[in-house]
Amino acid sequence: MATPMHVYNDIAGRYGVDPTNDNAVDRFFMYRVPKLPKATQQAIVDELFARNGEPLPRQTPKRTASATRSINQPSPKRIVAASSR
Amino acid sequence: MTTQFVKRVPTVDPSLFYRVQITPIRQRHLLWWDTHVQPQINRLPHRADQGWRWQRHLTTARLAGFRHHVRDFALTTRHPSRNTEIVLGFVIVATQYPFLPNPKISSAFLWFCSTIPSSVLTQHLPPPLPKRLGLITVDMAVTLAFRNLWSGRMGTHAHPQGGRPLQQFYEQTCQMTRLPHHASLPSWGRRLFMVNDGRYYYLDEDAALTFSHRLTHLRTME
Repeated sequence: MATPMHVYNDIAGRYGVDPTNDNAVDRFFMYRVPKLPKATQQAIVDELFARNGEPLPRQTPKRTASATRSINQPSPKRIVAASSR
Repeated sequence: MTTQFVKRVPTVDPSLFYRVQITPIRQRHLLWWDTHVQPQINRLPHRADQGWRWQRHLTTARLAGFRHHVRDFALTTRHPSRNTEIVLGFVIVATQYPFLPNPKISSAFLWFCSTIPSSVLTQHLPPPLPKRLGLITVDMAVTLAFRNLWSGRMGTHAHPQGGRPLQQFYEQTCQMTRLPHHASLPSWGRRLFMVNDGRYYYLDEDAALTFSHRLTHLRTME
């Protein structure tokens, strides 16, 4: 189960990042968080874990399939040139 | 052989394969994924990874890594004529985590995984397209469990957004066992998950060996 993306925005917002700017939030977690004091990093990780499975802030459509179930097996029209055999 | 990652992935043509590389996730992988794949996943209604931002998962995993020995991997291949790198999937695994049905022993835990949708793959590779990518991402966790001398033991959680089809994938395709809904989750260290919602799955030693053997032919280039 993944921590919902809005939790990251909430946390970044507390550190002065615009929580509506996803790219800014990404940069915060990519560059700033690893440079924060270890205790602060741990607090952030703890919150991310604690809010695991938290409902989304707004209603989303019901989903019924998975990331790993989307693989199809199409009929090939021609032979791939990348054969490794 | 159980400790070797796959080196090639099958296509619908049983005589043809794509060579693959399994490496730590790099920024170029994330950039490619965010440019070519994730926006299309976000438009698909039936994806557990809809709305994901992998950079965030990766940061979380690396911050937590000191405790759970987290490893991250990109599964990539190359376009046959252009030689461009194509990202087929991402995996994040906690390589030392309490085994779900018996927390006294260790296992690997498949934390996050995504595979490229076939509808996106058709835009980047000629047919026949690689297949069984989901199985191969699970195999990466199993292989790490063998490498860590956990005898292949691994666990995972079927994200609720994946619905019943994701559970069927773990149960039927991967032959995993579902952790009983009443079973408590390991409390060792900080838990990756807080409650047992009845969607936790695992492979024990025997099942892991059987699972791994199914892909033995993909672990060599011949």
